[in-house]
Amino acid sequence: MTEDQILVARILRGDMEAFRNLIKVHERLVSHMVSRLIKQREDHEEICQDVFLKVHEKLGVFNFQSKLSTWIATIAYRHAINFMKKKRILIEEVSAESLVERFVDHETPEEIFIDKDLDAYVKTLIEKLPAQYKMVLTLFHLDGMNYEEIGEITGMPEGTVKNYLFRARNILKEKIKTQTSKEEIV
Amino acid sequence: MNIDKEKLKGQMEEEKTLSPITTEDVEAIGRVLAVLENEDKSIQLSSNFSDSIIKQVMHKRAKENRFGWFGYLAGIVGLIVMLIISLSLVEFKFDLGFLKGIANYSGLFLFGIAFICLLNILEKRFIRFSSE
Repeated sequence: MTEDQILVARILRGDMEAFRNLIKVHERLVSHMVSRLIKQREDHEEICQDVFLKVHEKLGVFNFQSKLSTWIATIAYRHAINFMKKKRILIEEVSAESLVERFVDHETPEEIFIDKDLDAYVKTLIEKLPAQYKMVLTLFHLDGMNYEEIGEITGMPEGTVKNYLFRARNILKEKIKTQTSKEEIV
Repeated sequence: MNIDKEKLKGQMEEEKTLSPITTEDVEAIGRVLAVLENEDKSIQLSSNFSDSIIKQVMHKRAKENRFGWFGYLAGIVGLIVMLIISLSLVEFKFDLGFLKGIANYSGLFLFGIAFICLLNILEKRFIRFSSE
Protein backbone atom coordinates (compact mmCIF):
# COMPACT_ATOMS: atom_id res chain seq x y z
CA MET A 1 0.00 0.00 0.00
CA THR A 2 1.35 3.44 -0.95
CA GLU A 3 1.32 6.45 1.37
CA ASP A 4 -1.53 7.99 -0.64
CA GLN A 5 -3.59 4.80 -0.36
CA ILE A 6 -3.11 4.70 3.42
CA LEU A 7 -4.07 8.38 3.69
CA VAL A 8 -7.21 7.91 1.57
CA ALA A 9 -8.24 4.78 3.52
CA ARG A 10 -7.93 6.72 6.80
CA ILE A 11 -10.03 9.60 5.45
CA LEU A 12 -12.70 7.20 4.21
CA ARG A 13 -12.88 5.74 7.72
CA GLY A 14 -13.74 9.27 8.90
CA ASP A 15 -10.32 10.34 10.23
CA MET A 16 -10.39 14.14 10.10
CA GLU A 17 -6.70 14.50 11.01
CA ALA A 18 -5.85 12.51 7.89
CA PHE A 19 -8.00 14.86 5.82
CA ARG A 20 -6.24 17.83 7.42
CA ASN A 21 -2.93 16.29 6.30
CA LEU A 22 -4.23 15.91 2.76
CA ILE A 23 -5.22 19.59 2.73
CA LYS A 24 -1.83 20.69 4.09
CA VAL A 25 0.03 18.66 1.46
CA HIS A 26 -2.05 19.82 -1.52
CA GLU A 27 -3.21 23.36 -0.61
CA ARG A 28 -0.27 24.97 -2.40
CA LEU A 29 -0.99 23.10 -5.64
CA VAL A 30 -4.72 23.88 -5.51
CA SER A 31 -4.10 27.53 -4.67
CA HIS A 32 -1.70 27.91 -7.60
CA MET A 33 -4.01 26.10 -10.03
CA VAL A 34 -6.91 28.38 -9.10
CA SER A 35 -4.92 31.61 -9.08
CA ARG A 36 -3.45 30.92 -12.53
CA LEU A 37 -6.95 30.84 -13.99
CA ILE A 38 -8.90 33.27 -11.83
CA LYS A 39 -7.66 36.78 -11.33
CA GLN A 40 -10.24 37.85 -8.71
CA ARG A 41 -8.40 37.49 -5.41
CA GLU A 42 -11.60 37.85 -3.33
CA ASP A 43 -12.97 34.57 -4.73
CA HIS A 44 -9.68 32.67 -4.49
CA GLU A 45 -9.95 31.18 -0.98
CA GLU A 46 -13.61 30.26 -1.34
CA ILE A 47 -12.92 28.39 -4.59
CA CYS A 48 -10.00 26.53 -2.98
CA GLN A 49 -12.29 25.52 -0.08
CA ASP A 50 -14.91 24.25 -2.52
CA VAL A 51 -12.23 22.19 -4.28
CA PHE A 52 -11.28 20.40 -1.05
CA LEU A 53 -14.94 19.86 -0.11
CA LYS A 54 -15.42 18.22 -3.50
CA VAL A 55 -12.26 16.14 -2.97
CA HIS A 56 -13.69 14.90 0.35
CA GLU A 57 -17.03 14.12 -1.26
CA LYS A 58 -15.56 12.22 -4.23
CA LEU A 59 -12.66 10.47 -2.48
CA GLY A 60 -14.65 7.24 -2.29
CA VAL A 61 -14.69 6.92 -6.09
CA PHE A 62 -10.97 7.72 -6.57
CA ASN A 63 -9.47 4.52 -8.00
CA PHE A 64 -5.73 5.35 -7.97
CA GLN A 65 -5.49 5.17 -11.76
CA SER A 66 -3.49 8.40 -11.45
CA LYS A 67 -1.51 10.10 -8.69
CA LEU A 68 -3.61 11.64 -5.91
CA SER A 69 -2.09 15.06 -6.62
CA THR A 70 -3.03 14.81 -10.33
CA TRP A 71 -6.60 13.89 -9.40
CA ILE A 72 -6.86 16.82 -6.97
CA ALA A 73 -5.35 19.18 -9.56
CA THR A 74 -7.95 17.95 -12.10
CA ILE A 75 -10.77 18.79 -9.69
CA ALA A 76 -9.21 22.22 -9.02
CA TYR A 77 -8.84 22.94 -12.75
CA ARG A 78 -12.42 21.89 -13.60
CA HIS A 79 -13.84 23.76 -10.64
CA ALA A 80 -12.01 26.94 -11.66
CA ILE A 81 -13.18 26.55 -15.28
CA ASN A 82 -16.79 26.05 -14.10
CA PHE A 83 -16.48 29.15 -11.92
CA MET A 84 -15.26 31.14 -14.93
CA LYS A 85 -18.18 29.89 -17.02
CA LYS A 86 -20.65 30.75 -14.25
CA LYS A 87 -19.22 34.25 -13.93
CA ARG A 88 -19.13 34.53 -17.74
CA ILE A 89 -15.38 35.04 -17.75
CA LEU A 90 -14.17 34.41 -21.27
CA ILE A 91 -12.02 31.32 -21.80
CA GLU A 92 -10.15 32.17 -24.97
CA GLU A 93 -9.35 29.69 -27.69
CA VAL A 94 -6.11 31.11 -29.05
CA SER A 95 -4.69 29.95 -32.36
CA ALA A 96 -0.97 30.03 -33.16
CA GLU A 97 -1.42 33.13 -35.36
CA SER A 98 -3.43 35.11 -32.83
CA LEU A 99 -0.94 34.21 -30.12
CA VAL A 100 1.87 35.74 -32.18
CA GLU A 101 -0.35 38.75 -32.92
CA ARG A 102 -0.77 39.35 -29.19
CA PHE A 103 2.96 39.77 -28.75
CA VAL A 104 3.56 42.12 -31.67
CA ASP A 105 5.02 45.39 -30.38
CA HIS A 106 2.50 48.20 -30.20
CA GLU A 107 4.34 49.90 -27.40
CA THR A 108 2.70 52.76 -25.59
CA PRO A 109 4.99 55.32 -23.87
CA GLU A 110 4.11 53.58 -20.59
CA GLU A 111 5.25 50.22 -21.92
CA ILE A 112 8.48 51.74 -23.17
CA PHE A 113 9.07 53.01 -19.63
CA ILE A 114 8.30 49.56 -18.17
CA ASP A 115 10.76 48.01 -20.61
CA LYS A 116 13.59 49.53 -18.59
CA ASP A 117 12.99 46.90 -15.92
CA LEU A 118 13.30 43.42 -17.44
CA ASP A 119 11.26 41.67 -14.71
CA ALA A 120 8.43 44.16 -15.17
CA TYR A 121 8.67 43.57 -18.91
CA VAL A 122 8.47 39.78 -18.35
CA LYS A 123 5.37 40.39 -16.19
CA THR A 124 3.66 42.27 -19.01
CA LEU A 125 4.51 39.41 -21.39
CA ILE A 126 3.05 36.85 -18.96
CA GLU A 127 -0.11 38.93 -18.65
CA LYS A 128 -0.52 38.70 -22.43
CA LEU A 129 -0.20 34.92 -22.29
CA PRO A 130 -3.61 33.13 -22.46
CA ALA A 131 -4.57 31.25 -19.26
CA GLN A 132 -4.22 27.74 -20.78
CA TYR A 133 -0.69 28.48 -22.00
CA LYS A 134 0.29 29.85 -18.62
CA MET A 135 -1.25 26.81 -16.93
CA VAL A 136 0.64 24.33 -19.13
CA LEU A 137 3.92 26.22 -18.68
CA THR A 138 3.67 26.35 -14.88
CA LEU A 139 2.39 22.78 -14.45
CA PHE A 140 5.32 21.49 -16.50
CA HIS A 141 8.15 23.62 -15.15
CA LEU A 142 7.08 24.67 -11.65
CA ASP A 143 4.92 21.74 -10.54
CA GLY A 144 7.08 19.17 -12.33
CA MET A 145 4.22 17.35 -14.07
CA ASN A 146 4.66 15.42 -17.31
CA TYR A 147 2.68 15.81 -20.56
CA GLU A 148 0.35 12.92 -19.70
CA GLU A 149 -0.52 14.33 -16.27
CA ILE A 150 -1.10 17.82 -17.70
CA GLY A 151 -3.32 16.28 -20.38
CA GLU A 152 -5.31 14.47 -17.73
CA ILE A 153 -5.77 17.64 -15.66
CA THR A 154 -6.71 19.98 -18.50
CA GLY A 155 -8.49 17.45 -20.72
CA MET A 156 -6.18 18.39 -23.62
CA PRO A 157 -4.57 15.76 -25.86
CA GLU A 158 -0.86 15.26 -25.19
CA GLY A 159 0.01 16.77 -28.58
CA THR A 160 -1.83 19.98 -27.70
CA VAL A 161 -0.02 20.18 -24.36
CA LYS A 162 3.35 19.88 -26.13
CA ASN A 163 2.26 22.44 -28.71
CA TYR A 164 1.12 24.98 -26.11
CA LEU A 165 4.32 24.52 -24.15
CA PHE A 166 6.50 24.89 -27.21
CA ARG A 167 4.63 27.96 -28.52
CA ALA A 168 4.53 29.68 -25.13
CA ARG A 169 8.22 29.15 -24.47
CA ASN A 170 9.25 30.10 -27.97
CA ILE A 171 7.37 33.35 -28.08
CA LEU A 172 8.44 34.39 -24.57
CA LYS A 173 12.10 33.56 -25.03
CA GLU A 174 12.29 35.37 -28.38
CA LYS A 175 10.71 38.52 -26.91
CA ILE A 176 12.98 38.43 -23.86
CA LYS A 177 16.11 37.79 -25.93
CA THR A 178 15.24 40.73 -28.20
CA GLN A 179 14.66 42.93 -25.17
CA THR A 180 17.93 41.85 -23.54
CA SER A 181 19.91 42.56 -26.69
CA LYS A 182 18.22 46.00 -26.95
CA GLU A 183 19.34 46.73 -23.36
CA GLU A 184 22.88 45.61 -24.14
CA ILE A 185 23.09 47.98 -27.12
CA VAL A 186 21.85 50.87 -24.95
CA MET B 1 15.79 32.92 -8.68
CA ASN B 2 15.26 29.28 -7.56
CA ILE B 3 15.02 27.81 -11.05
CA ASP B 4 17.46 24.97 -11.69
CA LYS B 5 19.00 25.94 -15.04
CA GLU B 6 20.38 22.48 -15.84
CA LYS B 7 17.01 20.85 -15.20
CA LEU B 8 15.27 23.54 -17.22
CA LYS B 9 17.65 23.01 -20.16
CA GLY B 10 16.94 19.27 -20.00
CA GLN B 11 13.20 19.90 -20.01
CA MET B 12 13.49 22.25 -22.98
CA GLU B 13 15.63 19.77 -24.89
CA GLU B 14 12.99 17.05 -24.43
CA GLU B 15 11.25 18.49 -27.45
CA LYS B 16 13.05 18.00 -30.70
CA THR B 17 13.50 21.44 -32.18
CA LEU B 18 15.36 22.50 -35.30
CA SER B 19 17.69 24.86 -33.46
CA PRO B 20 19.65 23.84 -30.35
CA ILE B 21 18.71 25.29 -26.97
CA THR B 22 21.18 28.04 -26.09
CA THR B 23 22.16 29.48 -22.71
CA GLU B 24 20.22 32.65 -23.64
CA ASP B 25 17.08 30.56 -24.23
CA VAL B 26 17.43 28.92 -20.80
CA GLU B 27 18.12 32.31 -19.17
CA ALA B 28 15.03 33.83 -20.80
CA ILE B 29 12.65 31.01 -19.78
CA GLY B 30 14.29 30.86 -16.33
CA ARG B 31 13.39 34.53 -15.89
CA VAL B 32 9.78 33.87 -16.92
CA LEU B 33 9.50 30.98 -14.49
CA ALA B 34 11.02 33.04 -11.69
CA VAL B 35 8.36 35.71 -12.23
CA LEU B 36 5.62 33.06 -12.33
CA GLU B 37 7.01 31.47 -9.16
CA ASN B 38 6.95 34.83 -7.37
CA GLU B 39 3.41 35.39 -8.59
CA ASP B 40 2.43 32.02 -7.06
CA LYS B 41 4.18 32.82 -3.79
CA SER B 42 2.39 36.17 -3.47
CA ILE B 43 -0.96 34.37 -3.17
CA GLN B 44 -1.40 32.92 0.31
CA LEU B 45 -4.27 31.05 1.87
CA SER B 46 -5.32 32.01 5.40
CA SER B 47 -3.67 30.21 8.33
CA ASN B 48 -6.96 28.56 9.39
CA PHE B 49 -7.71 27.34 5.86
CA SER B 50 -7.78 23.63 6.76
CA ASP B 51 -9.78 24.30 9.96
CA SER B 52 -12.59 26.01 8.10
CA ILE B 53 -12.82 23.12 5.59
CA ILE B 54 -12.89 20.53 8.40
CA LYS B 55 -15.62 22.57 10.11
CA GLN B 56 -17.69 22.58 6.93
CA VAL B 57 -17.24 18.82 6.45
CA MET B 58 -18.30 18.13 10.06
CA HIS B 59 -21.34 20.40 9.68
CA LYS B 60 -22.32 18.62 6.45
CA ARG B 61 -21.86 15.21 8.07
CA ALA B 62 -24.05 16.18 11.08
CA LYS B 63 -26.74 17.40 8.69
CA GLU B 64 -26.56 14.16 6.70
CA ASN B 65 -26.78 12.11 9.93
CA ARG B 66 -29.88 14.00 11.03
CA PHE B 67 -31.43 13.43 7.64
CA GLY B 68 -30.43 9.74 7.80
CA TRP B 69 -32.16 9.20 11.13
CA PHE B 70 -35.22 11.05 9.92
CA GLY B 71 -35.34 8.85 6.80
CA TYR B 72 -34.90 5.70 8.90
CA LEU B 73 -37.79 6.57 11.24
CA ALA B 74 -39.99 7.75 8.39
CA GLY B 75 -39.33 4.40 6.64
CA ILE B 76 -40.38 2.36 9.68
CA VAL B 77 -43.52 4.43 10.26
CA GLY B 78 -44.34 4.21 6.53
CA LEU B 79 -43.95 0.42 6.57
CA ILE B 80 -46.25 0.04 9.57
CA VAL B 81 -48.87 2.29 7.96
CA MET B 82 -48.67 0.34 4.68
CA LEU B 83 -48.95 -2.95 6.56
CA ILE B 84 -52.11 -1.76 8.34
CA ILE B 85 -53.63 -0.49 5.08
CA SER B 86 -52.78 -3.72 3.23
CA LEU B 87 -54.19 -5.92 6.01
CA SER B 88 -57.41 -3.94 6.08
CA LEU B 89 -57.72 -3.98 2.26
CA VAL B 90 -57.39 -7.79 1.98
CA GLU B 91 -59.51 -8.26 5.13
CA PHE B 92 -56.78 -10.39 6.65
CA LYS B 93 -57.77 -12.53 9.63
CA PHE B 94 -55.01 -13.78 11.90
CA ASP B 95 -54.82 -17.58 11.92
CA LEU B 96 -52.27 -19.87 13.62
CA GLY B 97 -52.61 -22.32 10.73
CA PHE B 98 -50.44 -25.47 11.06
CA LEU B 99 -49.35 -24.47 14.58
CA LYS B 100 -52.88 -25.31 15.73
CA GLY B 101 -52.39 -28.83 14.37
CA ILE B 102 -49.18 -29.56 16.29
CA ALA B 103 -50.44 -27.95 19.54
CA ASN B 104 -51.36 -31.41 20.86
CA TYR B 105 -47.81 -32.76 20.30
CA SER B 106 -45.89 -30.61 22.79
CA GLY B 107 -43.59 -33.52 23.69
CA LEU B 108 -42.48 -33.91 20.09
CA PHE B 109 -41.94 -30.15 19.86
CA LEU B 110 -39.73 -30.14 22.96
CA PHE B 111 -37.81 -33.17 21.69
CA GLY B 112 -37.14 -31.30 18.42
CA ILE B 113 -35.67 -28.32 20.28
CA ALA B 114 -33.57 -30.53 22.57
CA PHE B 115 -32.29 -32.53 19.58
CA ILE B 116 -31.18 -29.39 17.73
CA CYS B 117 -29.39 -28.14 20.88
CA LEU B 118 -27.64 -31.50 21.26
CA LEU B 119 -26.45 -31.41 17.64
CA ASN B 120 -25.04 -27.92 18.22
CA ILE B 121 -23.16 -29.00 21.33
CA LEU B 122 -21.73 -32.06 19.57
CA GLU B 123 -20.66 -29.97 16.60
CA LYS B 124 -18.90 -27.40 18.83
CA ARG B 125 -17.22 -30.00 21.06
CA PHE B 126 -16.05 -32.59 18.53
CA ILE B 127 -16.33 -31.54 14.90
CA ARG B 128 -14.86 -28.01 15.25
CA PHE B 129 -12.24 -29.25 17.71
CA SER B 130 -11.01 -31.98 15.33
CA SER B 131 -10.93 -29.60 12.33
CA GLU B 132 -8.75 -27.11 14.29
